Amino acid sequence: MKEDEDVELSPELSAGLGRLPREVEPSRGFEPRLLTALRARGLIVAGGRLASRYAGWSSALRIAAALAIFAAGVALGHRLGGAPAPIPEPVLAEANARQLAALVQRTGSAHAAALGDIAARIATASPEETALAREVAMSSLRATLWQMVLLDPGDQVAARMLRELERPAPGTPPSVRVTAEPLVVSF
Amino acid sequence: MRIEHGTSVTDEELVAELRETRSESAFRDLHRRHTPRLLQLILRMLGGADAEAEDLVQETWIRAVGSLSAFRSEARFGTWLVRIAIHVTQDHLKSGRRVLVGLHEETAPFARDSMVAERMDLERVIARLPDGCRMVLLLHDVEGYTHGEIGAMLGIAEGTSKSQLNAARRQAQAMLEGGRTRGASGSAGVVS
Repeated sequence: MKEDEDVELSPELSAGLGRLPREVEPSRGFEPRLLTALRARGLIVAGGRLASRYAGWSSALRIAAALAIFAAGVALGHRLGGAPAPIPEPVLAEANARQLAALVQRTGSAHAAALGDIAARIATASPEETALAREVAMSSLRATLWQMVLLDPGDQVAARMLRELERPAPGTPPSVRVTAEPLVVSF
Repeated sequence: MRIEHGTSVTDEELVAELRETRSESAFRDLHRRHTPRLLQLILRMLGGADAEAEDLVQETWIRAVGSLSAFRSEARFGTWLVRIAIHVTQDHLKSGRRVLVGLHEETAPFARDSMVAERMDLERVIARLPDGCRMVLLLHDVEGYTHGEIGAMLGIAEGTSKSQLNAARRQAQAMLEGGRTRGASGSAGVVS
């Protein structure tokens, strides 16, 4: 592999170089730092294999989440006498990531604004209206958290929030359970 | 594609999975296989500036993962990584942001007959070589690359690699001789 050299290695230098360690372990904090840097740049995805394992049914759950929002909207519309909320077309269609992100941003802003309006009127609302508004808001929050967990199965904050939301009321058999670390989603 | 990771999984399979799914798990396996070697090489190329070596390893991985599409499987992944690490280190050395610490500082005398002392002497000698000479010596005499490979990695002619190696060996041997002479007369440490 090596060519002949004009200057030969002395036996001492040759032996010394041969004994030099070829590897050194990085500091304990290096790996987390490196992973964070790569995640921040979108070069790796936490739980990437998990995400790909669920890829087959993530679109079905996306539709289910959209339908949950839709159902909540219909319920609210019927109860309040207004028009039902439409299913956002791009959620179901093949939109690119940028379009979907724009949709989430737009509908998220509208969602937050609507909740703000409800909160502003809470003083004059009846207990039934308040309960209904809260129920609808919780439905959409639950659907959002499901999507967050599917988007990044390693997102422990979203998983914890979802687990709290899905915690069954006392005496109610659990239908959905979400656990953290390792993340297991079961139906 | 989904791979159960273990020692039997090749770098190329992990790279393919990382490319396909951006799998953190695949990346972690690659990192654990290659980082110790990369870190040691960069540490020596910097001349012992250990405060910066991990930053450069991180930059190496960022560039490598960001340009995985450029990796061709006919090359060894480890060699491809070393090439990126060399570019990262060269950029850093040219930037003048280098912090010289550790091996350049005189340390308390070791027991002169210990293996550790010999190794530290040699590390100091390597650290004191000019940048170009040091890189060629490390790549040829420590890492085992040919002058053709080194030329391609460093962007220099094969002949330049050979002459740098000659200069590096000459200087290293002179420094070791000088250190031994001083050591025999009662002074610890290697001098240049």
